[in-house]
Amino acid sequence: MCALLTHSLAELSSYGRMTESDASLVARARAGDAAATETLLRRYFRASYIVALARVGNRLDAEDVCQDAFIRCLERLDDCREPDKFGAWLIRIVRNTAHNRGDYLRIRSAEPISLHLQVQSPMRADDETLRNELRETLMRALANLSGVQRDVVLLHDLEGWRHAEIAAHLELSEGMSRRHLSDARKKLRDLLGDYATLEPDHD
Amino acid sequence: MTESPHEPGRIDLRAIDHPADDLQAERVISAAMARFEAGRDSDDDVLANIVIYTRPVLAVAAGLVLVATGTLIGTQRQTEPVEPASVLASWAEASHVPTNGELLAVFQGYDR
Repeated sequence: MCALLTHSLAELSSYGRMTESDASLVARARAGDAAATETLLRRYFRASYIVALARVGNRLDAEDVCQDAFIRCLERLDDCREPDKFGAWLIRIVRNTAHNRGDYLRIRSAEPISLHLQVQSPMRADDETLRNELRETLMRALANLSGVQRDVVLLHDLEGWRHAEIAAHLELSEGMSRRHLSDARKKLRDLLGDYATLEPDHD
Repeated sequence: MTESPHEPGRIDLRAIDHPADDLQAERVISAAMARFEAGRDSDDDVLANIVIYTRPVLAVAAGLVLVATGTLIGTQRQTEPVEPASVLASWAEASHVPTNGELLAVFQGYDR
């Protein structure tokens, strides 16, 4: 009985931590609470990583960008004027950090898209080489989108975020988020042809 | 690229971030926190070094201030101001014509 109660309390405490607001976590992080800092960074890691990936174009650079941005964020935590919007603030730092490494993606965007030559059949999706080529091709196609279009389409279609979340974290209106998604998909469809048969957004 | 079977309209972009790296967040966050802590420690070290190296300099400076203050007090005592009227009277008595320097010394420039 006692063990059950302890377990329930632990679960409750864990739930409380999971739902702790950004503002509360920021306050604890400012006071030097490493666990709160880690929780904050973990909460926004995927979004940060996706935003970085959308700009630098490869996983290793995106991880480096995240690392640098996180350090910058921790150094300037006292400057976060709206702790309840910590996520948006962090993503802005990630975008700025990634911007300095954006040359790679700009160079690649000048290269022609040749997906049809590379992807012969979806049945060969297990093939690692094919997958790498597909990744490269997708990145080239994404490089033709604007930064915000890339962020929106990746957060929505890769990460499964809803427009309300995207709008809050990218500091857009929901309407603009929908529009960016629609524009991004149209461009990708134009670039990728048959492999991008899109349907209207149902979010 | 294939369309996701689960959500209409969604583009399957999973190939961009494949294969999944479960330890990615752990790795990046720990590295960032370690680098941040190391930077903070090195900042503390710099501050400590500044304190260590400036301490003798501050001691010397304090000594110099004491010496300078003592000298100033001594000098002020030695050069007690003389009343110009009495000096002028003594010059008149002795029919002494003062030089410019003597006048300046007695009147202490143009202060009086």
